[in-house]
Amino acid sequence: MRTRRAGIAALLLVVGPGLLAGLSDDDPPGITTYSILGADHGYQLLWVLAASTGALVVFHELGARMGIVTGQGLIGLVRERFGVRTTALALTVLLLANIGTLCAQFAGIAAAASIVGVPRWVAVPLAAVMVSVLVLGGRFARVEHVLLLMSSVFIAYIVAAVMARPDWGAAARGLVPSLSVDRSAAVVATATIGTTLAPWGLAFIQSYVADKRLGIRDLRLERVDVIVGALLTGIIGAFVVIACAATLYPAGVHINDARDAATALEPLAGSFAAGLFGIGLLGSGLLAVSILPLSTAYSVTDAVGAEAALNDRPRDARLFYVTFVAVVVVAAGVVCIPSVPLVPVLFLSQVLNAVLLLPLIVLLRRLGRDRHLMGDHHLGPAGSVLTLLTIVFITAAVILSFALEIVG
Amino acid sequence: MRSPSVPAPTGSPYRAHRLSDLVGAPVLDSGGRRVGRVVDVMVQLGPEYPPVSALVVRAGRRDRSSVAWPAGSRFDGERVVLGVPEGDTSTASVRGPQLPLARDVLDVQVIDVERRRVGRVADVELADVEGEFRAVAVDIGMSAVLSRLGLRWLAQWAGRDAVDWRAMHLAGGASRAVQLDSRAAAVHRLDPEALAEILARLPARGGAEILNTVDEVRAAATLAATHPGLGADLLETLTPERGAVLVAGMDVPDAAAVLREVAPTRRDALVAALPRARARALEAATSSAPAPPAEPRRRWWHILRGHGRPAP
Repeated sequence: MRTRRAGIAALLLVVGPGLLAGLSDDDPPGITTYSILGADHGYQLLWVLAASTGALVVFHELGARMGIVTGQGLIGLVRERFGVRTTALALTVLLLANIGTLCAQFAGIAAAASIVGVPRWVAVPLAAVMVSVLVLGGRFARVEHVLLLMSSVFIAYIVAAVMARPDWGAAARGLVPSLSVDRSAAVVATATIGTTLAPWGLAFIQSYVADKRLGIRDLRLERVDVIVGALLTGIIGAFVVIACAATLYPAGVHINDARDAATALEPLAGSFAAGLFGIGLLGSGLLAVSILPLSTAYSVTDAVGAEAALNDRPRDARLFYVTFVAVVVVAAGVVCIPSVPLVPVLFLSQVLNAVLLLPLIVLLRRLGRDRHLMGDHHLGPAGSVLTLLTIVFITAAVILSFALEIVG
Repeated sequence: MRSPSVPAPTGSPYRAHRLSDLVGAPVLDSGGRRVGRVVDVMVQLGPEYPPVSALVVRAGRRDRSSVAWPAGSRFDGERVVLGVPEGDTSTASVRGPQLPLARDVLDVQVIDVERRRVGRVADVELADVEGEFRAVAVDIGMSAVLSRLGLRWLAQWAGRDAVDWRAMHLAGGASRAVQLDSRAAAVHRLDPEALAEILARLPARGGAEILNTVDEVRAAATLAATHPGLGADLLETLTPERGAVLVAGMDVPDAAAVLREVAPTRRDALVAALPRARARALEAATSSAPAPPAEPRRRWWHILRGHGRPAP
C-alpha cells in the first residue's frame, strides 16, 4: 500500500513537462482551429485530431527522453550536432514563429476579455505583467504548480461540450479516417496538425525536462506524464470540436475565431456554456502566454550555452530573463496597437509554425537516432518508423493543402 | 566571466589556426595530389597540449577515412599538406585515446567551477608547439561564432574569449566540456563536495566520465557526497567493474543509501563483484534499514530541485 502511495506521489512530482507542454497546445489559436474544424466539418475530421495527438505523443516522448539523457534543450543539441549555421537558422525562425504565436495568444486574451467588455489595452498589459511576475518571480516548483493549476480551466471545454448535447455515435464514427479532397478540409486539417504539434512545444518540453533536472531513473514516470499530457490535449481538443459540431455545424454558423465560437454557442447551448468556453479561452491564453516566452528564453540561452534555469537569479541568468521580458514586451506591444489587424497576425504565425515544424521534427528524429548522443536510449527501429510515418503524414498534409490552395 | 588567459606555449608570439578554418580545407600529399577535404581533426589525449594525430578526410560522397598526421605535415591557413610522399597517405594507426575535435569539442557546453553555464566552445585554436601541431585553447567568445557564420566584418567588434586548453576538463564527447577557472583547479584537485556539485549539473553519462578520470578514493568520496538518487544514476551508468570498486571504497551507510536507489539487477551485479565480507555487510544494510517514512518526501523534494542541488 505504502509502495503504491509512494509511486503515485513520485509520479505527481515528476509530472509537469508533459502536461504543460501538451495542454498549452490547447491555446487560443489551437481552440480557434478546433472550433473551425467542428463548425465547418462537423464530426467528420475528428480523426485528424486523433492522428495529431498520436504524433504529439511520439515527438513529446522523444523530446522529454532527449532532455533527460543529455540534460540539454533541443536548440543546444542542434548546435552541438549540426553547428552554428543550422542553429542560427533554426533559432531565427523559432524566434519569429514564437513572437508571432505569442501575439496570437495575447490576441486571444484580448478577444476573451472583450466578451466581458474589457478593452485590449487594459487586458493585454495586465496579462503580460501578471505572467512575467508569476514566472520570473517564483521558484521552479511554485511556478510549475501555478501553471498546472491554471491548466485546469480546460475542464470548462468538456462541460461546454456535454451541455451542447452532442451525437456521440457520430463523434465516434468521425474517429475513423476518411479522405475528403476538399480545399477547406485540407487547410483546416493541416492547421490542426500544426497547432497540436506546435514547434515551441517541442522545444519547451525538452528544455523544461532539463531545467527540472530529471534523471534517467525518472524516464518511466516522465513517459506517463508525456502520454497523459498529450492524450488530455487531444481529448480537450476533441471536446471543443464536438461542442462546435453539435451546435454550430447543424445551424450552418461559420466562425473566424474562438470568440465567435463562444458567442455563437450562447443561443444554441445557453449562456453558461458560452461563458465556460470564454473562461477556457482566457485561461488557456494565460497558460500559453506564460510558457511561450519561457520556451523562447530556453532556446536562446541554449543556443549560446548561457545559464537558464527558473531557480537562477536574474543577475546569474541575464540573457534568460532579458529574452523572456523582451518577447513579452514586443508581442504585447504589437497587440496593443489599435490598428494592428489581429486575424492576419494569428494566421501568419500559424503558417510560420507549420513551415518550421517539418525541419524541426526532422532534426529531432536525427538527434534521437544518434547513438553517440543518446547511448542506450536512442530511437529504436519502432520509434524510427513511427517518427518517419509522422513526418510523411505531416508532409503529405502540408503538400496537399498547398497544392489545393494553388489549384483553387 | 573569469577565464585564464591563453599562454604562449613555447615562446611568444605563436600563430594559432582555428579548427573552423581547418575543417573543410583541402588535404594534399607532398606531391600536391588531392587527398580529400578535412571533416574532423583528431588529437591524442594525454599531453597538456594534445598533438594532432590524424585527420578524418572525405574524398567522395561516401568515401570517408582517417589519415595519419605524420611529422612534417602543415596547415597554411587554406590547405593541409601532409608530410608523406606522393600517393602514400596511410590510414591512421595511432596509439592511445583520440579525441575528434569537431565532433566532441566544438559547440559543447562549457561550465565553470562555480557550476554556471558560461557558453559553448565556439572554436578550437591550434598552433605549432615544440614542433608539433597541437590544440592550445578554446574560444568561447561571440567573435568566433560570428566568424563561423561568415560575418567576419561583425566578428571584429565582438570579444575573443579564449581559455587555455590545460584549464579545460572534458566531460565527454556526448555530453559537455567543463571549464575550470584556473590551471591549479584541475578536476583532480577539487574536493569531493565540489566535484559532487559539478556532477549534479551534468547528465549521468558526463558525470560518469568525470568519475572515471579521478582516482578511486576521491571518486568513491564524491559518490558518497552526491544525493543517493544521483549516485544511483551514476552507478547505473558506470561499468559494473568501476562501480563495484567505488562502492567498495565507500562507507557502508553511504554505499547502502545509494544502492537502495539502484535498479535491483544492477545492484545484485555490483554486490556480487564486491569482496564477500563487504557484500554481506551491504546486503544487511540495504535490506535491514529501509528508508524511514520521511525519506521519500525528502527525495522527491530533491527531484524537483535537481539531484544533489543544494536547497536555497
